[in-house]
Amino acid sequence: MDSVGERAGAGWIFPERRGRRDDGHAQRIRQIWSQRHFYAFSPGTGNPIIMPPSERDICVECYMRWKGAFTGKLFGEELNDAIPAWGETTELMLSSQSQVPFPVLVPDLTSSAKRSMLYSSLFAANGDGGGMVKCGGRDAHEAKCHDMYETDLDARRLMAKPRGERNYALCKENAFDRYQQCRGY
Amino acid sequence: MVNHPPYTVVLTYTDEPRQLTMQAVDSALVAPLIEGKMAVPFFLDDEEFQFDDELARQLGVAMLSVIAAGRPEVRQHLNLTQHPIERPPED
Repeated sequence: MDSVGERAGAGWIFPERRGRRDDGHAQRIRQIWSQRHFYAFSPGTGNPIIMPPSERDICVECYMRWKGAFTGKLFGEELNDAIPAWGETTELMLSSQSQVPFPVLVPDLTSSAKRSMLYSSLFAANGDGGGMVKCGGRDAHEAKCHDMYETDLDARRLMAKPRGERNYALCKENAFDRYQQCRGY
Repeated sequence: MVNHPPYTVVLTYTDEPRQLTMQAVDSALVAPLIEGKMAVPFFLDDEEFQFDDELARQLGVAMLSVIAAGRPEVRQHLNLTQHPIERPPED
C-alpha cells in the first residue's frame, strides 16, 4: 500500500526554494513518482517531462507539483500557505487556483478579467490550458476503482454475511486488496 | 450409469416468465468466464468441511440475496434470516 504518511510533509512541494535539494531528497521524490508511473524525467536536468496525451493519466498530486513548479520558482515566497497537503483533493484544487501564474503576470488587468483568465485556464475544454481537465483521466480511473470496490463490498456482504461475521471480515480484506490492485498499488 | 462432469451451478432470475432457474454447467466451460472475478470462499481454512441443513440454508440466503440485489422486484419477496441461525449477529 502506498504510504500516505511518508508523503505527508508538504515540504518537498517546492524543494529548491526551501533549500532542501540534497540528493537523497530528490532521489526520494523520483522514487515516489516513478513508483506511480506518471512521469518521465529528463536525463539531463532531472526535470519532469509531461507524458504524451494518451498517457496523461497522472495523479492529481504529481500534476499539481508539475503545474505549480514554475509559479513556485517565480513567486515562491508568496506561496507559503498555498502548498497543498497530500491526499486532500479540495486543498489541491484550492491551491491549484492560487498557483496559476497568469493573473499575477498581467497586473494591469481588472479583477474580473483576471478571474475570467484564471477560470478559462483552469477549466479549458481541451488543449493545454485546463489544469482540472488534465487530471480527469486519473480521477476517472480512481472513481472506477472506487465504484467497483463499493459494489464488491456490497456483494460480499450479501454472500459472506449469512455464513457469519468472520467470513465477512476476511471477505472485506479481499475486497480492499482488489481495490488497491485496481488503483495500481 | 450416468456420468456427471464436475458442475458449476448457475442460478438465474428472469422477468419473462417470472422464474428462477438453475443450470448445471460443466465447470471446465465456465472457468474462463469467471477467471479474475470476485470470489467468496464459503469455508475458512480451519473450518470443518461439512454440508448440513444450516449450511444449505446459508448458501440459499446468499444466492437469493445476490439475485435480489440487482432486482428490486425480487427483493420485496425476500424473507430471510441474514445471519447463522445458531449464532445471532455479533454487531
